[in-house]
Amino acid sequence: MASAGSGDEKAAAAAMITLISSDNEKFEVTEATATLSQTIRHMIEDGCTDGGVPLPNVTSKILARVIEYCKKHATAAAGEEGSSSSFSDAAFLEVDRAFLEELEEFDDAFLEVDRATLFDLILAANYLDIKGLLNLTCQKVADSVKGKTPEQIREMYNIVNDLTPEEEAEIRRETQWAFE
Amino acid sequence: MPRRRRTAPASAASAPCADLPPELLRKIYGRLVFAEDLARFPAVCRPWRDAVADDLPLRFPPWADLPGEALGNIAGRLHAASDCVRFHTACYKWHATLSSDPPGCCLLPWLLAPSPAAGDNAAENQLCRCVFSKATYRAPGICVGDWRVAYADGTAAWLVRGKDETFLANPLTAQRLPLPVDNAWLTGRRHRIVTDDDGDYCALLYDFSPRSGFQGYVAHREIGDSWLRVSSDLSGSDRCCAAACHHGGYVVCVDLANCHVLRPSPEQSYKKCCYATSQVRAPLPEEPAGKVRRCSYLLEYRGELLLASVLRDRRPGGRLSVSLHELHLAAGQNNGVEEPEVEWVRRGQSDSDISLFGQELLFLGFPNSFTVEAAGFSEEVSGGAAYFVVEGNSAVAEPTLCSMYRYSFRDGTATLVERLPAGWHDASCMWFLPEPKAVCCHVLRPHWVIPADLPDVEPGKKRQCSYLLTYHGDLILASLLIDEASGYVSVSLHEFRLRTGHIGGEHLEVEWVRRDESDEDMARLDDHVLFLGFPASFAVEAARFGGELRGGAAYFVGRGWEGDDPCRVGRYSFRGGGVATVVETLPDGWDDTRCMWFLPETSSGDLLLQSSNRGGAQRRQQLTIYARNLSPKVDSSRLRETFSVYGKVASARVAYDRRGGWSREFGFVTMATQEGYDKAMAALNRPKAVKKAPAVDNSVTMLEWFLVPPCFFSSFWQFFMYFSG
Repeated sequence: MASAGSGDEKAAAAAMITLISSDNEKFEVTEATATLSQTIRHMIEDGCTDGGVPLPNVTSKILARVIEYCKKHATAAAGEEGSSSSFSDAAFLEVDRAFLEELEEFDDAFLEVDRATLFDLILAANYLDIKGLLNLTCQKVADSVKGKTPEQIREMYNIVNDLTPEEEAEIRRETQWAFE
Repeated sequence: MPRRRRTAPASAASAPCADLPPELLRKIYGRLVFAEDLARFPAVCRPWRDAVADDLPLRFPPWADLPGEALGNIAGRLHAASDCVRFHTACYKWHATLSSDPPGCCLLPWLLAPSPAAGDNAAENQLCRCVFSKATYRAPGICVGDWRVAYADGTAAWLVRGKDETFLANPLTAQRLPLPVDNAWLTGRRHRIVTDDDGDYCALLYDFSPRSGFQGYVAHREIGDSWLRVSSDLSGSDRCCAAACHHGGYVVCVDLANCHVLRPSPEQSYKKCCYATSQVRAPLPEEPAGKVRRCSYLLEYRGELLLASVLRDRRPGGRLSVSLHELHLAAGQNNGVEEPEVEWVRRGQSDSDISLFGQELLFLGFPNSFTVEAAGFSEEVSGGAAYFVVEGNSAVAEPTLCSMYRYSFRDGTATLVERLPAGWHDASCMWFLPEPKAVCCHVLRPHWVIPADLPDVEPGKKRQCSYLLTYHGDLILASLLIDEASGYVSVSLHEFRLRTGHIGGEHLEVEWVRRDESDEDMARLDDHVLFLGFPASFAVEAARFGGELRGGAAYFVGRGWEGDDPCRVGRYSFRGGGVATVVETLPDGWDDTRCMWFLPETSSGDLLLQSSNRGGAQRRQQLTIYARNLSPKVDSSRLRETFSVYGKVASARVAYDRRGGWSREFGFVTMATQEGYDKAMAALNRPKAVKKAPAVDNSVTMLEWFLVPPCFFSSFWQFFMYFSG
């Protein structure tokens, strides 16, 4: 690892990717960070990232947050790889656990956003195909829905009930137990 | 939480909330749940509004329009059946994710209360409870007596007895389920455990009472339709905690002290019924010092039979724990008779066992217990635990409520999950897993309704009627137009096309293409007569009428400009700029223009052939080539073009279905000269093409063309290139 260090640094410096948000703001990120997104990974593999990657579906505000998430989790992924290849002693595992806890704290803090931002994050995670972020944000929605009635869910998410009365009656008849 | 609530009014009086630092206000704002709370928050006072000014004006993103993958992801994280159902009831889009992505998640099990005493036929509603979502459901009166059937995989069914038939039903949805075994037997005993592993079924039905002992029947695939009878007094045991059907006919019963391995004698098992039950009794593994066994459960886990014992410390208020033992049946002999020897192996203590069971959840119940992989429940319920119900302190005289506990194998402690509500007085409850597919009822709705306008009408004209017909494989809109000034009638044709729009292919647009203007369109129209009517319109090849009707025209029924004008049959010719003529004024009684056209069927075969014979000349018949396996897109004019390469074509017709108007994928070509006929035959009748005896007329030469999928010929040109090259 140590001997290859300088080479790695060089490669990392060379492999910077520019992401361009819908409002034309540019973000420089390392390849390791960017490839957390499967969409961008495929673009890099196809070699079409010269001159930046335009992301017309993501605003700069959301992209900044997504990059924040990717940076943190990219270092986590790198740390895990390192641990499995070179270290396996208890001390390192201890460090690893601390790091995982830190990551969990980061995720919790990351989710402290209002609903509109959460919505945009889900869309961005889906578009960029970042599994971890999609799971994280969807879990937040799932948690908020638990134990709520359909009326409460609609109120929470400002959803118009477009089921016809007949359709809703049919669902309720078939699954009575869910509405008692 | 309660503490905070109590202090809130006091702090509001002393310290004004309005002066909270903006970061804190933003944090509070971020925790608000309901849309209307979010809207009210900035309206409270100036500092509150300023704190959240960045987020104003308040956005309400279209949550209903979340992409399907995200909705599926969210739904897959809901493991309480009621949450799952309610989620899918929020709006139609959320509901519709059920169709593309049926809930692949595991649903947490429900607890089924034991019914009142055996044989009690009062219409009792069965209590079901999902302890994880604290929902109780009273299944409406289908549960008369105890008719539940437990499946070894954790699912369950109810045996419903009607007047004429008996069937199994899903306990939550009342949907019918297939009967794995003969239903006449299923009703015979009170407890039913069925293993149904892709037809490799095994069923155990039994009753137990201290007086009559254990009476049961066993059926499994190896013995086919017959049932084996198993009976035993269980050596005076007063309580049968659990029974399991195991390993090809062994029936294992446990009570609080002993284990009984019952087996009908093997040499008699091929008879219809077998009464001899061989029995081995063995004590259960000893309880650890200071503990007493409260209940025993049997469960199958990866092909092993496990005994789970719920133990309680002897001292009052003692702690609960669960121990696991694996049952080994070793072959042994007793007085020359084969008899298995029972051996217990402690499980769940070694490191490897703990990591093994750490992935699982054990649900201990009666009559059946089962394991579920914890991974299916994401992080909602962590693995390595057993759930069980115990009765309250029996020292108290009045019926006490039962409690549900979770025992963790990792730290060896049992924690109370909940005290079951009123009505749960018996600990012999049954767990069952709801099946996600059955639980989420899916209401179907047509997938898309795409609003689209009809094509514009030329200025000064008005659309009086619209017809749809298929013609050359396309869907065509024929519009009957009336010139508002002169009252002239005309017909316009448009092809209907669906174009996928930009958003991920989900967005469809309707496009109309004019089909009666270009020369190509007119050439095609020349061969056809269109009949416009209700409910269906169709196009017929003009050649079928042997020159009696000219092609390139549409027949329709219309009315004049005045409402009380009589109905008239009109003919509109597309040639020459479009000319409409009245064919006939319909007699009295025809006062509705919504008439239907139909082609009478001729009794003696092919109209087509008759018309070609009517042409007369014997010579012509010999020049007729029968061409089959045509692409549906090939019409008569294309067929004519194909053959005109070899000489003058006298006639070329593709056979169309009389009613539907679609191509029957064969046709006849009559060449004008013998030379052309020979040339065409030589060029087209390749080795790949097979010459066959003519089906209808000896003088018609049949030519089989190499079969090519119709889609291959997206255009005639391709077709021709392939054909000749």
